[in-house]
Amino acid sequence: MTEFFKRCGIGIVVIVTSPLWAAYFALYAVYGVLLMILTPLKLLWCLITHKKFSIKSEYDERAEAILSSSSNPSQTPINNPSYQPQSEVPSSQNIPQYMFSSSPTTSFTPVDRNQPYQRNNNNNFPPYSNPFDNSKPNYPNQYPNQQNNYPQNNQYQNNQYQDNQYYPNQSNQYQDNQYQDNSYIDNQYQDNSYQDQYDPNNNTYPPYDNQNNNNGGNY
Amino acid sequence: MLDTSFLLFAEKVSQTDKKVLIALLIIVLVIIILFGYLQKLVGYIMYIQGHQIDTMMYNIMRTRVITEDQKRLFGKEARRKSRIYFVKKAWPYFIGMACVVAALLIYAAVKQDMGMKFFSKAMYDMSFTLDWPTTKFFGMTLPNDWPTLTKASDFSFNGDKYFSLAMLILFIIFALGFLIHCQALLSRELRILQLQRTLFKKDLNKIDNNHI
Repeated sequence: MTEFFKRCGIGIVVIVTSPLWAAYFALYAVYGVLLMILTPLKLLWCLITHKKFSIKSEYDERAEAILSSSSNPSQTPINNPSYQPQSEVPSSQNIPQYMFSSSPTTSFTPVDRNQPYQRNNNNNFPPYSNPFDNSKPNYPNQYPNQQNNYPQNNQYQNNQYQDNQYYPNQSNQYQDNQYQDNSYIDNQYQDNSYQDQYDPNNNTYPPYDNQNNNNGGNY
Repeated sequence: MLDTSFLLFAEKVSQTDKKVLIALLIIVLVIIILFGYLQKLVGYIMYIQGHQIDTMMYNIMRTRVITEDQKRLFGKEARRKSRIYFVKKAWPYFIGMACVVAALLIYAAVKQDMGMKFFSKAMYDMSFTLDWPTTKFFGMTLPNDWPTLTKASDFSFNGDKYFSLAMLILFIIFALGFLIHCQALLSRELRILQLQRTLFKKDLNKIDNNHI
């Protein structure tokens, strides 16, 4: 019943104000006709001056750039002055796992004793050297960057694996993880130019995979 | 005193007049209710048309390219988009109306009748006339019976007649489409005004007290 009387009241108001609404609407119809006449002229002018004339503006382009670069744009609220972006690790920086963990990052796959050891690419050793590859001769320090905290190859000269070509379970031997204090954060490999010192044609040294300059190697 | 006046009035008015009065009141009530629900329908249509602005400005506001301090910039950008959107959608109807008017003018030029008398004669021939019996009711002239047909429509074939009818129908269709888009332009303008009031209002309730 209330809704009925409300509608009646609105109806009376609409009838009384209908000349105003009709005039406002007629004005907008005239405005529309003017727009239809003037817009082609403006379009022509923009064509001559090589300006853009479309619904999408620079603001849309900026918004699209932000949306495409942001990892989680749905967390950005509108009109919220108290918004603070969440401190999550951006995916683009590829910060390796070991930075967030103090546990050893080495991992070994179980190897059949009768099979020669196959280097596992999933272990967390940087590919630039294979300390367990005893077929390679011992090298002197390959890295001119003396700030390198990564254990040198010659540490494995007298390694306990010489007698044991196979590595059934290596994780125990890295309890005192010499990588624990490694400082890849300082990115000691960034300026590593050892590649220039070696002749790839001789192929005497394994190539250093220098793909990720900021993380100390591939992981 | 009101009761006695009403009784005197009721005695003066005859049964026929009473019936006419009741019928008139019912018609007025129906018109009022009709306008009330028409307003609801038009309001709903304008609400949907106006939200086109939300679609166009959503990403810009969501990524804070335009912030809550830039009320005028929001209005300027939203109105620019609304105008271009209107032109994009309404130009076929406008071109259609222009073509119909051009066709009529060319036909008039060919017939050497720039006063368009062939058009007015065609409309008169196709129309019909009704004769309403009327009566006086408290100073107003009101119909009191069904009408009689005094002039019937003439749909006999005539080139001018059918050409004028076709152009009129086409013009009405294109004009309706154009006016709907004009209404949409008006709806978007009202929505922009509403958003400028609500979105850019300084409200202390929106501030998170944990953040300074």
